Amino acid sequence: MRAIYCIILLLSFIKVDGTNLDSLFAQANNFYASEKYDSSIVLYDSILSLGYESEEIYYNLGNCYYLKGNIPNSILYFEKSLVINPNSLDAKSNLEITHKRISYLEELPQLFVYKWWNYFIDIFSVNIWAIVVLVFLWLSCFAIYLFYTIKKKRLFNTIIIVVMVSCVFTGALNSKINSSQKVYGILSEKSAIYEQANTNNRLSEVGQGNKALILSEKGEWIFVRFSNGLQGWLKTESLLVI
Amino acid sequence: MNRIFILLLFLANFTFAQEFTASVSKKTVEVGEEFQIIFSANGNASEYKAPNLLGLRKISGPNKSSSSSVQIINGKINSSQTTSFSYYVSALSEGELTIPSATIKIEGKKIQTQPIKISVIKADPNKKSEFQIGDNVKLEVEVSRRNVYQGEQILVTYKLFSKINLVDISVSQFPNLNGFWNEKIETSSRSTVQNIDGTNYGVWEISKSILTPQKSGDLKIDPMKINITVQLKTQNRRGDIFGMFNNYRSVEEEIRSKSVTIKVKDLPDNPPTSFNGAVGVFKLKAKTDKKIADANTAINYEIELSGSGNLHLIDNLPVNFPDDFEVFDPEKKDKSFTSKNSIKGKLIFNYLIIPRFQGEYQIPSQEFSFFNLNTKKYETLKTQAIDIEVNKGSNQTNVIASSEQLLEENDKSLSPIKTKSEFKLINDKMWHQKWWYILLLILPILLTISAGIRQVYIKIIDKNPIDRKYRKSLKIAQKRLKNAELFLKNDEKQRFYEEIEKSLLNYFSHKFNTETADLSKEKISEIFTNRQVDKEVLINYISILEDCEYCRYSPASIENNDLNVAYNKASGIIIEIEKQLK
Repeated sequence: MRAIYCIILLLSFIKVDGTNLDSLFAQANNFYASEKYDSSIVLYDSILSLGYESEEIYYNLGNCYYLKGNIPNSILYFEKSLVINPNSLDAKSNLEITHKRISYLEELPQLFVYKWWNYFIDIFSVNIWAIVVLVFLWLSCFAIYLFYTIKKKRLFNTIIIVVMVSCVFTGALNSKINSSQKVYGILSEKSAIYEQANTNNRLSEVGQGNKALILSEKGEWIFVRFSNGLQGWLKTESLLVI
Repeated sequence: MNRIFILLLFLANFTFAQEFTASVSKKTVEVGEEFQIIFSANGNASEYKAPNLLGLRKISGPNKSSSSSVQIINGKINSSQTTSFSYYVSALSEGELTIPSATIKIEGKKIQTQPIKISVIKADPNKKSEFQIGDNVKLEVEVSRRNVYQGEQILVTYKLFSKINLVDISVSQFPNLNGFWNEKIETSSRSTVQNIDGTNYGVWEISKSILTPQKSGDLKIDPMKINITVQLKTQNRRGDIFGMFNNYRSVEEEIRSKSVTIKVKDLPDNPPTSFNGAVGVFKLKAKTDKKIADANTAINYEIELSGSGNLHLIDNLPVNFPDDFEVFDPEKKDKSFTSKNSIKGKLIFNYLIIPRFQGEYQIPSQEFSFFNLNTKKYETLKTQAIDIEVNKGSNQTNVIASSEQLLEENDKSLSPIKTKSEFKLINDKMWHQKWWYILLLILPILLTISAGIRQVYIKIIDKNPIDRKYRKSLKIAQKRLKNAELFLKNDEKQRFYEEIEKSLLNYFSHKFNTETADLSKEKISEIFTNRQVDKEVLINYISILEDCEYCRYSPASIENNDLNVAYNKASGIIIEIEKQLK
């Protein structure tokens, strides 16, 4: 442990640039390879504390915590990794493995339309969607301009299609932004769900590692909804915010 | 003046099993107070022999009344007949008085009533004539036990006794049962008759419940309050001769029961670890529907608790299943019922369990402890441990042997860590929140809108009809005189004039739909006048033709300036015709 503190002390003097981050990352990976998960967690955390993040660093942290046996934190970091890149196959498969280690609440079945729409908006991240929407906006504006200057009926169908497609993409961007603004949390331990804040009226208990959507906050209490539709109040300390 | 009002209807409700009884409405009467003596017989009565009513003044009687009822139960016809003889009498003097027995013959059998003793007291001159409900109606509470253990069940019954007929009974306040679990038992709203010390009482069971004390100490059951309504005959002030037209008034009064204190003893110290409050006498059984099962197929595990006691307070019988079993929440079947003074029956918890892996398992013995009321000791019940053999399922291709192996498999299948990464600042703004993105988003919209506005603006200008017509005809003229314009530029005078003439003729033939050969000067002037074209056009046309001829013969005398004039004239002609002829 002392070695770790020395590393932290050193870090505070290092001027941050890309190469430093890369070397830290490589060092952490070395620790991981030699099964010193605590040390690699400290190093990964140091990169985060310098104000940098990436899909891979969260993913690696998830692996570290999983092998340490800390399932809630493992889930937390895999979820964080999936926020940055929702299509990461490795993160998805590892998340599924962690779910086998907890009493995972089954998700409510969704209407197929919503499912398809969610698959669709997960194709790109928010930034890529933003660019796609921008390109299509320019295209459709140009198409509209062409329509009332050239006035050829042949063009009309093409223009309509371009405008409609850009509308759909704008909708996708919008729901992507909305879903990225939702804040989720992971239960750090088995905790009781209460009907009201500040009362002892228990609704039920939910096992560690389950994901909850945060709906509102009131002092030390959080109102959450779980994937199986259960809603209730939780104490803030039992939730790790993604 | 004391009077008792008795409603005969009340008596008609009474039913007896083949007997002959005597009853009085009041056991203690004042001198001169009116009261009633009733002899009622069940069955086909005959040969009634009245008693000798010594020491009593007969006011009326014997009044014979009879009622019969026919009941058909399960096709069996059951008829009953009640005959009663009533006397209204008043006592003449103070002291003990015996009403002697009357005899009657029921179905050939002679039956005698029991003599009734009544005491006659001195009339109280101050006593008001108000009817005293309290003497005639009382609410009693019956408790099966007053000294119980915590969790032991007691039966509490509230009974209403009444000597007179009641019009209405309603509960105004149920007792507050603090510290008790209350299980109500259905009571019938019909009354029964009970003879207490020679007086007939109508008895109603107001409420009946099984109470389970939840804490120890002296628990008090508050009194129950009920409202009863009786009908009283009012005094007949008009001196009605026949005494038939009686007026009645309803009187409502609240009566209450006594409060009862139950002593609840604490259960003995040091209960077994598996004790969770069950008191009574129980039996425990457990079984599974199969002992040999395939992996991933369901097994039913049933644990049954039967007996009597506070069954309803037991909501869970936890079972420790092996870790490799998937266990669903149990289905609870409550087959308990309330018997005479306790709750009996059984509780069945049905667990659906699914073994995940092949192997030999044992569902361990389950414990259940309770306080036995008979022996006053704690007792612990145990089920038998059940061995279950789980086979590899035939249709399962990759059943993993145990959960530990599964864990290892998981760890192996964990995708390896990434070695390369691109870092970016945390909490960096998304692109859609940056100013340049929003600018790029707004820009094309603004451009399109401004282009649209421009188009609309042009269209508005275009709407001026004269301008539009002019521009249209100018275009046609330019088209027709395209070749002429070419010659004008090249300064080929002769060919220019030829071309002008040709183009104009072509234009006319196209416009007026005639052959070029037919278009002589006269013909054209005729058409122009017919079509009401301005004379100036014709003059211009003729002057152009003249110029053409002039040029043919002496081309040198024509100056360049004249060519322009001719061209303008020709285009002017076309424009004018286009304008005037639609």
